[in-house]
Amino acid sequence: MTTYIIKRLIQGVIVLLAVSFICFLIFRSSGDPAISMAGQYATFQEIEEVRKVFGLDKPFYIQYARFITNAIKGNFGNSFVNKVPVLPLILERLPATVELAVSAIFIAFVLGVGLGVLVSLKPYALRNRFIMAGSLVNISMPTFLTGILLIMLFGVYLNILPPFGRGETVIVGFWRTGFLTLSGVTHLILPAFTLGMYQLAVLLRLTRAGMREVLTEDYIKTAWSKGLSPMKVIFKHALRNALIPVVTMTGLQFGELIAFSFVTELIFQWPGSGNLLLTSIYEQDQPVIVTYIMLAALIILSINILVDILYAILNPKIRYD
Amino acid sequence: MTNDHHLLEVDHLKTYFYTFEGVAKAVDDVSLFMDEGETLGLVGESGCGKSVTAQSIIRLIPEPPGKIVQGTINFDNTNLLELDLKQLRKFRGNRISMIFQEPMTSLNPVFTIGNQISEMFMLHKKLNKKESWERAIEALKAVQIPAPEKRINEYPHQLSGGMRQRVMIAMALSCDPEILIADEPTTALDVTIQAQIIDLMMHLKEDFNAAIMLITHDLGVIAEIAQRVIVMYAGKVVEEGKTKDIFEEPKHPYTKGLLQSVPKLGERSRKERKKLEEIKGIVPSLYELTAGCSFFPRCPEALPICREHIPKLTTIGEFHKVSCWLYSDL
Ligand SMILES: Nc1ncnc2c1ncn2[C@@H]1O[C@H](COP(=O)(O)OP(=O)(O)OP(=O)(O)O)[C@@H](O)[C@H]1O
Ligand code: SF4
Ligand SMILES: [Mg+2]
Repeated sequence: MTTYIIKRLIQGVIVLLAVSFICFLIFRSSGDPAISMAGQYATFQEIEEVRKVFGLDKPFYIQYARFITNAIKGNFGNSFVNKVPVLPLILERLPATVELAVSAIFIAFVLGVGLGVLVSLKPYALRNRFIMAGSLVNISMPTFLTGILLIMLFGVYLNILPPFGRGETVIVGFWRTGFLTLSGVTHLILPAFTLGMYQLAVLLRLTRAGMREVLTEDYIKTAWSKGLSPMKVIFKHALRNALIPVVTMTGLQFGELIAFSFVTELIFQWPGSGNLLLTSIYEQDQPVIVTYIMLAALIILSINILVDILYAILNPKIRYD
Repeated sequence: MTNDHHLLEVDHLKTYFYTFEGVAKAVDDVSLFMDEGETLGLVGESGCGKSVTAQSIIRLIPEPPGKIVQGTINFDNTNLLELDLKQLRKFRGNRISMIFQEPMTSLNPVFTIGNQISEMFMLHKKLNKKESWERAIEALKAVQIPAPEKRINEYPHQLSGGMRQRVMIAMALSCDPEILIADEPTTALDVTIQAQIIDLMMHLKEDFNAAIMLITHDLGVIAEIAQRVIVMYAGKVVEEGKTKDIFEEPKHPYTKGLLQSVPKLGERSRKERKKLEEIKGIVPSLYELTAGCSFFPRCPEALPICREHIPKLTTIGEFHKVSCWLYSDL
C-alpha cells in the first residue's frame, strides 16, 4: 500500500513537471515577456534592462530552471494587468471556486448514486424510465442552458433562490467561506446544481449500469441465500462493488469541475478563479493564465492520487498486488 | 426410513422462464422429498433444470425472467412458497443453505472471508461482532483450512479455488442447517481437490447431521455417497430410487445411457470418471419440446405411443419410480 502511494506521488511529480514545461512554453511563445513586463511604451534600452534583470537573456534551460524554482517558492511573478503578485490574486478567489465545485460534486455523487441504485432495482418501472430519459436530456444539455433555465425557474419565476452572486461570506483563517451563512448556502444552490447536473447524470447512469451488472453476480446470489436483508444485499454487497468505477469517475470529474467551472461562474457572476481566468484570457495576462493552469494541474493531480488511494481501499485486489 | 412425514417435500413444482424466445419450462412438474440426514443425488445433463430446482427451494430464481408458477415446497410444516421475504429469510442460510458451482465468483471480492462468514452469526444467531468473528475462525477450522486466524483476514482472491469452496462450505454450515444444497460443488475444481472437498462434506455431514442435496455430473460420487438418486431430463424427473436400485437396475433408457460409461457401484476410479454428455443426440431445447416423451428423439427403445403421449411417473418398487412407457400402461 505504501509503495503504491509513493509510486503515485512520483508519477504526480513527473506529470506536474510536464505541465510546468508546457506552461513555460506557452509563456515564452506568446510574445516577448520582456516587452510585456517593461510596458508597451518602454525604450529598447529599458527592455534590455528588464531582460537582464529577469534573466531572459540566459539560455532556455536556465530560464526553465528559474521558472521551476520560483514556482516551488510560490513566486509566479506579477500580473501584467494588475501589477500585483499572481498567486495571491488567484488564491483569494480560489475558495469560491472550490466551494462551488465541492458542492456540485457532492450533489452529483449523492443524488447520482442514490437515483442510480433506485433505478437499477426496477429498471422497467415507468418512474425509472423517466429518470433515465431525464438523465439523457441532462447529459446532452450544455451547462449555460441548464444554468439559464434554473435561474429562470427558481430565481425569477418561483423567486425562491437568489439567481447570482455568492451572498454573505465569512473568513475562517485565510479561507473565505459561504458555507456558514444562510445567504451563502442559498446562493450556492443554483450554481452548484448547474455545475453538477451533467456529472449527476453521468454518475447516475454509471451507478445504474454497475448495479445491474453486479446484481447478477454469483456472490449476490450467495448473499441472498444467506438470508440477508435487501438493505444488506443491495447496499453492502452490491453497491460496494458497483461503487469502484463510480468513485474513480467522481474523482476524475472533480478536477474537470474545477477546470470548467468558469462557465457556471460567468452565468452566476460567481466571484471565483474561473471568472478571473476568463478576464485574464481577454486581457492576455499570461502570468495569471499560466499560474491558473499550474494550480489546476496541482489540484487535479492531488485529487487523482486521493482517488487512487480510495480505489485501492475499495478494491482489495489492487491493495494487495 | 419409511416415514410419510418428510423433512422437505417438493410437490408439483413448475418453474418457468419467460424470455424473448418463448417460455422455457425449466422445471416442469417436479416432485421430490428429502429425509433428515440423508444424501440425495440429483443428476442429469446440463440444462435439464437441476439448478433451477434447487434454487426454487429457497426461491433464488431471478424474477423476471423466472417465475415459480405452481407447486408447494413444504419444510417443517411451512410452505416456503407462501412466505414473504422476511419470513423466508429465517430459513435461508439458517435452516436451508446452499453452495454454488463457482467458488471463484461465489464470494464477494471486496470483503474479507471473516466478514462474510461472521455475517451469518450476526444475522441468524444474533451474536456480536467479536463473538461472530471467533465463531467464524472455528468454522474455518472445521473445514480444515490451515492457519484460520490468519486466513480469516484475507480476501477471496488470495485463496485457491479449493480453499474458497471450503470457505463456502464453512459459511453454509455455520448455522447448522437441516438441509445443505450443494449445486455441483466440485465441478470447477481439479480432480484431487474434488475428492478432498467431497470427503470433507461427507465428514462434516456426520458432525452436523444435515441432509444434503448433491447436484453433480459425477455419477461416481453419487454412487459412493448418496442414499437416493433422482434423474432429471428436460425439466422432469424421469427416474428416482435408492442408489443401489438405480445403479444396479436402471429402468429408464436415459438412466441406462447415463450409467453405461460409469464405474460400478463403490468403484470410484478417477481415470474412468466420465461426464454425462456421452449419450447420443443433444439435449432438447426447452423452448421446443415435443408432444410426447421428451427423450423420444434419442431413445433407443422408443415405442409408437412415446411420440404422442407424455409418460407418467409410476412406482415400480420401494422408492423406485420411473417415467417411461416401457413400465406403464396408458
Ligand atoms: N436466468 C435464466 N433465464 C432464462 N432461462 C433460464 C435462466 N436460468 C435457467 N434457465 C433455463 O433453465 C434451464 C435449466 O437450467 P439449469 O441451470 O437448472 O440447468 P442445470 O441442470 O443446472 O444445468 P448445469 O448442469 O449446466 O448446471 C436452462 O436450460 C435454461 O433454459
Ligand atoms: S417413454 Fe418411450 S421414448 Fe420415453 S424413455 Fe420410455 S421408451 Fe423411451
Ligand atoms: Mg446447474
